[in-house]
Amino acid sequence: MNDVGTEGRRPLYSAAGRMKLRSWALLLAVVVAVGGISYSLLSSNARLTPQQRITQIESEVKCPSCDGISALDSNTAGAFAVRSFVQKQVKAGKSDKQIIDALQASYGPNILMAPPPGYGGRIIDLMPFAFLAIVLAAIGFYGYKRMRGIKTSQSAMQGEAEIASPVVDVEPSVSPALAVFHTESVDTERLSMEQDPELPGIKAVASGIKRLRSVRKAWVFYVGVLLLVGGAASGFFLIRSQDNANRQLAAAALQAQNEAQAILQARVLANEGQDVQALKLLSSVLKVDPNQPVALAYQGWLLAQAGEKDKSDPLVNQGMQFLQQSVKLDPSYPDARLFLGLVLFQYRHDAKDAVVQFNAFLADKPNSSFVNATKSVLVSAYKDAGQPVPSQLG
Amino acid sequence: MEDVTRKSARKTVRILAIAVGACLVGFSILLATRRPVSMQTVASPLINKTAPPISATTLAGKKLSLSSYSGHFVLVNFFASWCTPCQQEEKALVQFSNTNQDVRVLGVVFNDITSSAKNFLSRNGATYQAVTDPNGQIALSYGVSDPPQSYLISPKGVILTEIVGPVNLSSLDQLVALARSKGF
Repeated sequence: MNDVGTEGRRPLYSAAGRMKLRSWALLLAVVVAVGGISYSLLSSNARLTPQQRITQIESEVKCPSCDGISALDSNTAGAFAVRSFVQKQVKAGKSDKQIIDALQASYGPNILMAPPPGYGGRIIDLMPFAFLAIVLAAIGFYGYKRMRGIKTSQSAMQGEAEIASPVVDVEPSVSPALAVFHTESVDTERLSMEQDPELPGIKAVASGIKRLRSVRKAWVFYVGVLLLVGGAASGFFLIRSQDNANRQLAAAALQAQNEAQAILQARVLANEGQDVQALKLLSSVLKVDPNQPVALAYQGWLLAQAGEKDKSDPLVNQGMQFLQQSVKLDPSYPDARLFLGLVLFQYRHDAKDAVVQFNAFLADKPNSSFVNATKSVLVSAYKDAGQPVPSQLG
Repeated sequence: MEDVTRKSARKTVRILAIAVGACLVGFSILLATRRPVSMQTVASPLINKTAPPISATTLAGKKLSLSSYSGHFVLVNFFASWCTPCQQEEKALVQFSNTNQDVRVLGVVFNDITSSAKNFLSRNGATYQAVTDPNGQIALSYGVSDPPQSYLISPKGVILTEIVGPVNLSSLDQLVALARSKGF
């Protein structure tokens, strides 16, 4: 049976074997796609820090006494209770799901900013997929019917031609060509060929073309399925990565907002002479974000001032290091330039290097009140360095 | 033959178009008639479940646990002195507590200063116990959004009902009678 008739070709696999192989390949593709999607789902939150997790959960949960405001954005007692609960649970090592489930156990799903859909909602969610499935099924059905129609008409035409041809040996009951063209599987086709060893050349060619078409159709189908799965997976990954990016952006925005508030508060405290409190606040900012140029600049300035006051050179040096780091991170931040220049000129008596910093400070068109407050020192620095005083200080 | 196929295909396409159109119309009706999630009221998920534990400090500074009331109906009432509906319901609560000796009333201070809560209770002649909830964690475990909110707990410690808003004496009496008749 393995012998392929008169042509003497021996296929590597039988038709059933090939079908099995294709099924396994398809299954493998689906498993890989599903595995990838699951991995992306499960690993997306694993990379977040505890603080980012807290922020994320707080943004997903409503303030219980507000209407449509998250616990993160509200300052009510209820929101505070939620935030306190979330923080405690994260510290206790609970997963996001456990925390959200605990809140849902008390308030129900409406405590979530995006509550899970009910039956109606699920139907709505499934509508696009159902629509896609209907369209695909319709296309497939229509294509199948069309192909069958073409095949039938081709077979009929071929049959008619063969009946009319004197070369073809026609059996009285059924045309051999029709017998071949009506078969579905390659094996049946081969059987019919074997049964009629004196097939004319035209039939062999037609059979070969059909076989090629059949193989091509199968490949088109599998490639189509793979493209569909691949497309769906890519779409999912794209949405997921976009979602993650949005969350990270939101977390970053919140961090920046918190930092800005803390720095502002530190500046107010520093102006009021509460340097220790201000330094504490700035340290807390730098603990979270060690490369925050504004916090670095103010930390450096306060430390240098404290060092000068206490006659502590290491403290002044430490302050200078913070200031230099701030300048390095953001060369266009004028405050850092001014502070570094002041430290260099007043505490290190280095007018030349100080003027370099003051030039950069003035080039950034700083606030006039800031310039006026430091005008006399800056003019002295330029004079000491033997450089002309800029018109801004004139 | 070809004509028949074409007619059949047209018919299929027409049926499909009608089906898709019907789906879209149905979808639109569904969306238009659905109430927004924010307007949907859901019963407390705690009903028929064991009441979350309460272990806190009373306004008199003593430790009190909900489990010490085991074997009695308990009405846990979340209140605040600044809340107007709480002021409205307080007299009914006091009366209920005084007339139903086998039912315990336990007040839980919701976002209020201890001294204010203490004054509020004594001004209304309340003799029942009230506990503080400094971080709002008791309120959170009971799913309280705004005071006043009350929960009737069975002698076995199961939450029977949730009352959102001010209570009145007759409804409280009816609730307890109903719970008793049901064998709780």
